[in-house]
Amino acid sequence: MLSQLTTSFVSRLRASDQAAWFELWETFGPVIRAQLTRWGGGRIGRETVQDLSQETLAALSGSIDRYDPARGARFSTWLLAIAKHVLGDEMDRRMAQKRGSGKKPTVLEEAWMQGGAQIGADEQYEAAVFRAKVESAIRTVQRECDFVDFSIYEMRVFDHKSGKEVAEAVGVSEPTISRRLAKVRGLLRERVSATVALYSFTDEERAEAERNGLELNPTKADDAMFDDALAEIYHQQAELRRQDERLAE
Amino acid sequence: MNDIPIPLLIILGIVAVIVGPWVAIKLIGLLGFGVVHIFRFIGGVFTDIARIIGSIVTTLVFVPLVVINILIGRWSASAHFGRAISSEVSAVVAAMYRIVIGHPARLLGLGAAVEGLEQRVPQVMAAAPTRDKPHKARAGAFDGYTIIGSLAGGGSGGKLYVAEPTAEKHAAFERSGHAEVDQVVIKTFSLDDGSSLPQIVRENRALAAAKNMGLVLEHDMTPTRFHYVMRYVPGKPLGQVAQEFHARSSSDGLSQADLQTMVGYVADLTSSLAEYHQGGLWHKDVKPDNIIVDSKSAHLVDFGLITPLRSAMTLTTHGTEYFRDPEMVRMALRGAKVHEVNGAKFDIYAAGAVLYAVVENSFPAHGALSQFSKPCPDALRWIIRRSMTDYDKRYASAAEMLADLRTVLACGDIASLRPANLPSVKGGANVPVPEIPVAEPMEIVDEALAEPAAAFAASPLPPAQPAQRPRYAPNPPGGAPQRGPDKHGKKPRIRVTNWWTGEWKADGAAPDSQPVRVARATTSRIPKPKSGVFVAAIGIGGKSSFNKRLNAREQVRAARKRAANTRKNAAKRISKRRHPNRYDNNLNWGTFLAVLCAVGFIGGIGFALTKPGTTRTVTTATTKIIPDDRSGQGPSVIVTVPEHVGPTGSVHPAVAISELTPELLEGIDGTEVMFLSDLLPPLDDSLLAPLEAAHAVLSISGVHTISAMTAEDGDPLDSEEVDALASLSRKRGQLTLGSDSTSRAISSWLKKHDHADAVVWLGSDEKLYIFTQHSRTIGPVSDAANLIHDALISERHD
Repeated sequence: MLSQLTTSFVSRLRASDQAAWFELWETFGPVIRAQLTRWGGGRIGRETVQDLSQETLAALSGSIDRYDPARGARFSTWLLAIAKHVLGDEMDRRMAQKRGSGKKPTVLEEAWMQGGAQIGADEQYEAAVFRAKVESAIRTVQRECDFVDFSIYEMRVFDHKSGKEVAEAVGVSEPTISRRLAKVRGLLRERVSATVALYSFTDEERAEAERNGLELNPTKADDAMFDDALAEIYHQQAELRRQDERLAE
Repeated sequence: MNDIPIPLLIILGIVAVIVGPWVAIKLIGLLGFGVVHIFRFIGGVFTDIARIIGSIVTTLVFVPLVVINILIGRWSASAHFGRAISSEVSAVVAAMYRIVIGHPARLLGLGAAVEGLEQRVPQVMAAAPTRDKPHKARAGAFDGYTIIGSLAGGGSGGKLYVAEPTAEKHAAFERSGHAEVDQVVIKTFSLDDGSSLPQIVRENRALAAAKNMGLVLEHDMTPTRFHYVMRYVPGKPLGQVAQEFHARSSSDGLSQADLQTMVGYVADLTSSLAEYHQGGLWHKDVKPDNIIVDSKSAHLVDFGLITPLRSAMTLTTHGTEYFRDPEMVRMALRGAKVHEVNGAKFDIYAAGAVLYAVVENSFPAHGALSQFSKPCPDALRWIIRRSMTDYDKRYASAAEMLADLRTVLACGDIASLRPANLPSVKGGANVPVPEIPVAEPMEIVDEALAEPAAAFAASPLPPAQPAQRPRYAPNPPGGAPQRGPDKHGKKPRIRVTNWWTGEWKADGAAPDSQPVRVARATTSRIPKPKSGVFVAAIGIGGKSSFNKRLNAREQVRAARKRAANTRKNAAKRISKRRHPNRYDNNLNWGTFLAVLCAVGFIGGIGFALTKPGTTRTVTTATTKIIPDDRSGQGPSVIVTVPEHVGPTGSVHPAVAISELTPELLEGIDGTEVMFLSDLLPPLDDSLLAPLEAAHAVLSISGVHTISAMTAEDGDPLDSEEVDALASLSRKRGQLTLGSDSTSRAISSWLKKHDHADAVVWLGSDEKLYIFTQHSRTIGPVSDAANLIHDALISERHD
């Protein structure tokens, strides 16, 4: 059963809301590119990967009308299926070019397809999709939150500075830092919950946040764990972005 | 021991139990610290060794590019690659310095071993200039300019040429207030060169705005080509400078001094942006490649996307990824108009991204959430995050960001500066949030542009609304922006208040000069739009002399002043010609090094091939067939080396001899061999080639050959040799060479004649007969060299 948020988002996609598509691209583009790169196993160039990731979302826009939530597919699987379909199309095109040029099709394309079929939605991919959702939530909070408040959270949690150091840097007292941290953390919990729900088609996907240490209704003792989990996800996602940047160079 | 009281021993024991573990932990920690130090040192040394190797490989990649570009006459490109080599060599020197001196003194982390190949090569290749001269058939010539080189084109598809204005053009610039325009950059878009009409029109719209700020010197448009002229700013792109800074620094990031320098460049950038925004323009393509750093400061270039902040055009997504605010893309996708957003904030985002890029030597791939992998002072982090944060929360103006950057620059120790000390945080900046100026309407400054510009105009400019705020702009801290007449001498804006009567008033003019008035009521005329020439005259320099006409005396005074300035500037120009900070496509020392390497490489190969002691390949022996005039009995085979080939000679293919080496032929030098032939020319190659090869080998070995030489070919024979040759030549075709009697006769002849030690006779049966005083050898001509060699050696032994 789709949540209302998801239904609304899918409706926007169906209505060709470009901002919604950009949101999707910005959030999951690096994940799709990383997956296509893995499938390619170094045999497809970075330009091709860039093109294919764009084509994946283009294909997604074509298939969104045919999507049936009752079939119970995960959001991540949905993305992956489209990416695989696009990769398959690309292989077909290459085969056709080879036939047209009078050359025998190489076994390379066959191997790619087999490889792609075997890889499937593995844990690494699922984890990457989840991280992308959390990253999207962090970005949302950054937009909604006061700049100083969010900077305090960034310095304290992402930059691993002590409360005292942050207080000195910003020029406020430590209790103020704690208060502002709590405020941002609370907002983050809300947004993580909402974003994960937004990009989830199944209950299992919606429960991923808690499985990854992001308790959405925590006790105070869980704050540290929440921060640690969020920082880890942030750093992993930053690494993915760095790889994606190298791909884009 | 017995003297020590037991309580004291107990106390000492307790102290030992308490302090012992602490000391042990400290010692272990110290040991670990030492180990880490050593490993860091080793890691740093290995990193630099790898970097040196990488730079050498990179240099080897550039060497052929320099040589090839010299050969095809692309001086700019060869100079460019030469500079890249210089850069690589500098990196090697820096790495060697670190290995020898730097590492022992301080610690280093891991570095990019193949940085040269992975980053610098693609970037240098991408930034390589194009043709030195524009293609005349496509781009044509530029009147008033002499093209002296080219620059790498940007993403807009235009071609960039560096040119020097002629004397007349120079004087024209002087007259229009542009002093010391020594060199210019011409950006041209040609339909024949692949540019599209919308692209040209977009550039032209940008041009109209840039011209008002004096950024563009001149422009021209033909039916197929559009170009404009800007000042040439010598220097390197900021991205390249940052890379060089990072290459010479350790993996711990930039040093304090380098960081200060980089912040200074970004401060220059922000200062330029503040001016642009004040002038009502938005650059829209701020990135390290568009910032040129000379010896003193950074300059923002490339006005391809520059846009009036109050433009009525729909916001587009143009820009460069990572330096373009994602929020701008969202707004553009929502269909926002340019005047509905605050474009200055997108420039501020880009300035923050540039600051991140120079600190990290990388792109801000994660936008405002981009991670810092290198040490970065808190204050700088704050500035970067503040400028790249959400649209509504970032710096309200470039001036505000500049105030923060200047605080950083003024601080001696950046690392100690806290974000709380920044003016934007402590609230003491007092930087006024500039209102978005009312931009001049985008005028079609060239008649030729009128049609395409109209065709691509998305919507007309709205009438100016002084009280209007951008729809997407946040409330400035001080409340709603105060708008009103400009007190800084800005040109008043004429607004028609009654179209029927022609009533108009000037917004922004001094209070006493803006009564509502009827413009020449009899004609009901609104002020005439400025012509292109007028725009050029008043726009450049940003100061308006609107409607101000000087009297005759003032004009003469002004003319004299201009003439004096011209003389002064000419003197400056001459001195500047000696200044190194000019566009230079002359051969630099990197180019020289590359050519030297290439020449050395080719010379080395040549030396290896011709080195004594190796098997020699005779590739130059040729044979000439000439009639034997002296004997009158048909031609002889005369073998000579090519430098002796006369004008009548025919050159035959070269033959390689690998079997005979000079060593094997030692001991036969000084021998004299006479050549004779029973066959008439022309000889088949199958006979000729082995003979000429054999002759070549004999010549190399110091054997003197005697044949029917003519005066112009080789050394002439002396009279005794001629007589000997003639006496034997008479018998050609008459002797049975294989018989014993012939062998004995020639043997006895050889004994009588000191001028010949052997006779090589090509028989009519196409076999080779070699006679010496003591032996006779018969064999196929194809084995001529070996046969002659064997015969001479055996004769020498006998």
